Amino acid sequence: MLFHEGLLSSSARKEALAYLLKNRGWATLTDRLLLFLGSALVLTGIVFFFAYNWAAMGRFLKFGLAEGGILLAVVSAAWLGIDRIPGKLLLLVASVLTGVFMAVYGQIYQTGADAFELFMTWTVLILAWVLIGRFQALWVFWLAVLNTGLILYWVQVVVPESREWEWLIYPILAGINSAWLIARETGYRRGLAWLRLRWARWLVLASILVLLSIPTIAFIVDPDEEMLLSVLLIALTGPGAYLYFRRLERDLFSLTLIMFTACLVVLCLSGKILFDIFDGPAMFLLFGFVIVGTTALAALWLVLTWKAIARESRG
Amino acid sequence: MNLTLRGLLGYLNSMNLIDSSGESGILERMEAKQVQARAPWYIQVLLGSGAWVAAIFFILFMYEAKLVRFDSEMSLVVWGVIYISGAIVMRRFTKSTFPVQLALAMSVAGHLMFLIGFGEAADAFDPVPFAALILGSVIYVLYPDTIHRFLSGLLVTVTFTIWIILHKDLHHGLHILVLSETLLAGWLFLDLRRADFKKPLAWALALSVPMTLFLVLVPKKEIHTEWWPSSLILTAALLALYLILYRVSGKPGSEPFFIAAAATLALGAFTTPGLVAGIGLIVLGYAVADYLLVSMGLVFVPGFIIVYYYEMNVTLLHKSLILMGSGLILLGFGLFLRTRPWYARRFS
Repeated sequence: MLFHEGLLSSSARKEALAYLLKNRGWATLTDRLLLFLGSALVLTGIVFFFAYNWAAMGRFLKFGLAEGGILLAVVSAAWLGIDRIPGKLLLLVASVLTGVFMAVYGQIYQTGADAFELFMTWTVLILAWVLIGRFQALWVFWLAVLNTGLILYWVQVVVPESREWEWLIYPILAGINSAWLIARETGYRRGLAWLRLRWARWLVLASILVLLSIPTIAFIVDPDEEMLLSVLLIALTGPGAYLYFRRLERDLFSLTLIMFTACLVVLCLSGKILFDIFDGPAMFLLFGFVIVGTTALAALWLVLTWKAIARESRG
Repeated sequence: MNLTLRGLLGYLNSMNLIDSSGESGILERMEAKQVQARAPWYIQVLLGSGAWVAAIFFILFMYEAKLVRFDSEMSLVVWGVIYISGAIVMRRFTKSTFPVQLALAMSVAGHLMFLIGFGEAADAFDPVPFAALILGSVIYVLYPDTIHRFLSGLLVTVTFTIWIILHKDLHHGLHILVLSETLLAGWLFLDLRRADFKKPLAWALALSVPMTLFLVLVPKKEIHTEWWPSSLILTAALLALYLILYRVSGKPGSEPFFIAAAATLALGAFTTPGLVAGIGLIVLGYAVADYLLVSMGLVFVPGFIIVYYYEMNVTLLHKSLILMGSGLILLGFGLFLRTRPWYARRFS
């Protein structure tokens, strides 16, 4: 671009490109890509293999493969060292295979255990690896298994006994994920190197926002006191989260996630009010304008915030 | 190494390729550009999403007010043209956020009405991709908006993909589509002239390559073509990219290049083209420092694997062997890389 605007000569451009490309960290990218993708593909292939052969495989073969895989992964992780990425990835592989083992166990022994029991047991069994692994991907995987187990527990045990508790699962899961996020942010701010990458923050924050916005939107459409806790939580914690990501972290992506959720809630509320009070085709046009205005305002706010953050960073 | 503009300019200064006044001039110019730069992509996604939803309500208004009937092709086409024209005029004469967003919503609504009406009039889906191509080409020039240009490009490739899926005798055309998307995306990304004009289309085409392969699997219909031509095209494209990067970076040690090329060849010969496409996005994105592309690749690979599970042309056993084999190829080359003395020196 500098060359095309006449700010660099062609020899300067050639030298600049060589400098940039040589120093892009290609070796690191290649290493990480080969390792992460390779592991993910092997793992997925194993899951596909089990799915294909499920009916034909004898019980000992099923157990042998699952347990052998776990043992191999754990021993390899110990040998390579869990301070290094390959070791941490192998712990993740062992954790996934533990789930495969639980599925095999449940299917063979027909214990009558509900699915939630298998997931909760899975969560407990891999917790030690998660704690020693110091690996965000492993933590996120563990959270996903825990969330799944709790959802299944709620659907299979709690709701059939009492439908009053139906909506309580959302704030409970949001609370658990928030506790993890707070712990993560505390560790991050204290400088723990393994928490440096922010993708886990964004993923877990997105999950919290989804979990709280679903009952909030349901409350707007059809108010019921069961959903009130979620509404209160989002109202009380939303501004606090915004301030944290704006003032302390200056993380525009997290702010965008929060604003996106806020837009959804505001639009549902305004749509409900408009369509309840007024009638006629003009409401669709008016609501279309409301959507345009709300998203434009949110985007404008974020752009101004983005520029302010850039100014603050330049000091 | 943390690359910065200051670092680069300092390096060029040390090589006597620019002087100190040139260096400070460039820095001032780039800081001024930063102030005018468009917002990050995720803010644009927020705007684009809002425009789509608003467009649906505008169409519902037209329908409820009986201004348009879905069984009247002419009214859909006419109102589509009116909406698109109004959007172009509004966009060309304003830069404020609300009218820009309104124009985008109107244009999306106009596109939907025009293409639905066009398809209804032809009583078939066949002319719709060509209508989208002509409409998209004209509006790409007239409508100076990044999100809109991106959506126009994507609309063309998605409609062509759907057209191919709907006709059994056109399934071989899938490879021509993949070839076109790959060649055009590569050219647009690597040729930096008029970058602002070309970038949205480049993104759309880069995303279209894996999306075409993804969409083909989603309907769970049998696909009447082999996958190897697309694998070959994408493998060749990745090898060409490595060659360009190798030459532009001044041909530093050839071994890393050959390792990457060998891994890609082995993978391309063995695996499904969706995985090669995902890896291609990651590598291309990293090469041009476009982390949106890298993110697209990282999101696409697991998404593709999930949809691949349901692909009907191949048995589950075959799929499991392809995935495990692909993974072992990558891990094998990864382990080989770590044994190289230059690699160990770099990371010791």
